[in-house]
Amino acid sequence: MSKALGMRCVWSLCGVLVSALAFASMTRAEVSTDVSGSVLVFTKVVWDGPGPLDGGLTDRDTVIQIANTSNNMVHAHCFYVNGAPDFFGNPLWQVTDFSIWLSKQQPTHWVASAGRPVNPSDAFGSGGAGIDPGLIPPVPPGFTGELKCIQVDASGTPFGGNNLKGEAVIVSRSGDVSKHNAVAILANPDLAGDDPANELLLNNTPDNDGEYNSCPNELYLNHFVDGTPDPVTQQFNADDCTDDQCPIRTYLTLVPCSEDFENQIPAEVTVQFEIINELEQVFSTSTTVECWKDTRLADIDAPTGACTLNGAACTTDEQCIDALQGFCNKNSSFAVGVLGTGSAFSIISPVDLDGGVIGVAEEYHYLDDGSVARAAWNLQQTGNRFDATEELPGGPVVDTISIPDRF
Amino acid sequence: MSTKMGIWRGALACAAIVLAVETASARVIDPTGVTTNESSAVVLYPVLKADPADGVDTLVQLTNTSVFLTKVHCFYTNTNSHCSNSPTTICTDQDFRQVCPLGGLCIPGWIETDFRLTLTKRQPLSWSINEGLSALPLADQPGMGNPPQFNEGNIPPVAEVPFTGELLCVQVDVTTELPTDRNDLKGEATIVESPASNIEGVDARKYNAIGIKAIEGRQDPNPQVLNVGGPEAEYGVFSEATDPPRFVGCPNILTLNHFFDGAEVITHQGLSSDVFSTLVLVPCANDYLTQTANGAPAVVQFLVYNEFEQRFSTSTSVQCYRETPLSDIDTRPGPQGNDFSIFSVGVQGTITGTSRLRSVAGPNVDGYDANGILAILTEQWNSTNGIFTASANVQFQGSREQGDRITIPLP
Repeated sequence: MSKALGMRCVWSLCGVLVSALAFASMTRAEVSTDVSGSVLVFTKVVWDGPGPLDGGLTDRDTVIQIANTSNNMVHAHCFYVNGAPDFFGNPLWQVTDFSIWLSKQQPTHWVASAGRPVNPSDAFGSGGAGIDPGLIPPVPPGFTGELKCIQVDASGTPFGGNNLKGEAVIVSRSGDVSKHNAVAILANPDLAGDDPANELLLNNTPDNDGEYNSCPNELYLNHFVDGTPDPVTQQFNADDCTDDQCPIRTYLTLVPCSEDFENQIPAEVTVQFEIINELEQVFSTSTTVECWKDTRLADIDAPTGACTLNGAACTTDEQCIDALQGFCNKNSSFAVGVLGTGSAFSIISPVDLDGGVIGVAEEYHYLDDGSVARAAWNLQQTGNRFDATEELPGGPVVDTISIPDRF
Repeated sequence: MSTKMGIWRGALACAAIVLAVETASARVIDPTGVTTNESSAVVLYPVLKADPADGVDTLVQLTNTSVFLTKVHCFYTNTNSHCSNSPTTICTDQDFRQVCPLGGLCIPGWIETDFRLTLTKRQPLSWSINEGLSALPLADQPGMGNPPQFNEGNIPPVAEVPFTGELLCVQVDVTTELPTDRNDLKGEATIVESPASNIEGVDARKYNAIGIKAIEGRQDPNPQVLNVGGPEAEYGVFSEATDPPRFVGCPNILTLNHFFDGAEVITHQGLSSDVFSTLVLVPCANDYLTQTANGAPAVVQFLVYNEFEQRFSTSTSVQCYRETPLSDIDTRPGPQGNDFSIFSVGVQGTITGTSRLRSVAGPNVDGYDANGILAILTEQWNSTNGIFTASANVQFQGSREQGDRITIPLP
């Protein structure tokens, strides 16, 4: 065999092997609630507290659960972001961060209102029992916002281990509970933590080797139409649904995928809603998410409405419930009066070159006396923001999470 | 440089590159072929409940996310157990001694009822399983598309109440009614409890249907059998992490974060609730043609970690459907002995834990052991103000080497 032929054979064989292994090293791009990831986003964390509100049965608190799914020690840097409105109605965007350490397969939990002190002498079976993951601060009363935990290595550098999973349970003072999975952003283990390490680029897709998986291009939301009477209460408990006064409401929480914790600059994303009812009729509306948005669907395009019993002007259901005047109905594109069917399908899409959003939905099932049961669920998704905007002038969109530089 | 030396140097350089790439690929995530995040060809609702006496019903939501007319073939599975000496009496492992006539045993049931319907362009539907939907919204009037599309079919109510069971819907071709490789379905289920003259008010819990994705262009000539993962996979995803890379189906491991039974969770700086969890396990495989439920039971191994990183293990089996309080997995059905379960807070000493569930692989005859499982977790929070529930989708990890088969009757 000649030298040239021999070398060609070696390099051809090498090429085949490398191609096969490179193919094998591609990761599936997704932001997921099904698997563990390197960035956990708890989209809705609430501690109403006895302070700003009335201390009544509607006050809510949140239990956070996080687990390490690997057999190695895992470190995470977590950020509470308070999206509660300030005096002018804009999100406060106050950030509090802390670190946690989880040993092999270790689960942990804490209650948002109480945090978790480090106390090795916690009683067996008490809330603090177990290996404390670190000092976790409580959130202030009136906190409504998100919790984001980023997997880091022992030095604090972001690390793409994809070892974190989490859930949040929102508990009402009435005892009602509502649970959802945290959204996990998966990392590309080969590139996560690249310089600049404090900038997490969400640009990994099936067609692009990036650091972290790109956010979804569209979110899918199946929901009951705002104000539709609960069919189960209508069927079995008509006494508590007088004149169909047992509406179902859907609340939607959205968070931009980009966040700049270093410069305290809240991200802003405008999203379009395409709403399809059971008759295949299409409606649309839009809103802007700045930092964090939690809204009743009907509030997106109808800020005011009328109480069902006396027709008085209202903005929230609580105003009508407190006045014993039913519920606050609105002429919204999400409302039963407009859509005319029991359920609808909404597609939520960021506009133009805006970044992605992730979210969670929560359904409120009311009785006519104002008592309510809530149930949360995770949204579905399609596509990714990076690939969807790659061909646009100025694209592609790369969502970025900037964490503070260490000093 | 001699020819031999050159080849050796080239081989060495090549080995270094291969090693580098291989090291990187060793950290690739092993995906599973099921999802609750994306629309799919098969959607599974593992928990449906209806009990008019207690004001319980399930609202099912099913949506066609595509712009095309879509046909769906759905299967309700009634998993009620009945007394051996009183076939009309519904029983459970926990209560059969009380509800069955003396000497009666509780025989597990598995009765399937199927129906077909079409969904027009991006059309959502919702229905109560206790009432069904005798008239679909676009049965008599056209949709907005051009050409206009109509709904065909209807949705029956469940055949028996109280009802406990599952619903599986398969996307099929509009004309031939054979399974298709499109992934257009998404769904949710909301279980609402609103009994008459209630004191505790209303309760609701919701979860996403579990989707199994069809693999484009992989539908084989035997459309009666849906191969989920395995060597002839038609459903699932391609995994680059396996050796060699291959199509995979149901997850190898289910991971759930849960509260240990009896855990006292204090929120609101003083509100106390005791939490108990119920797990529903269903097989990935189903035979709707011969109405047999998954053959031999699948053994499920549990690894349970508490917050001290202490590890425990137990196991149970699942044949066609298993709904069990966590504490009954390793103790006798019913409250007896629950305090001694490894899922009890009194045994574990911490409030929360993580459980990893793995179904034990069966003998590999043809690559399909039908031992894959899926699950939904339900938490019951008992507070001084009443009992309330929440459901959560269980997470997935890794892929099984063998696949599962869903067999459906053809038109």
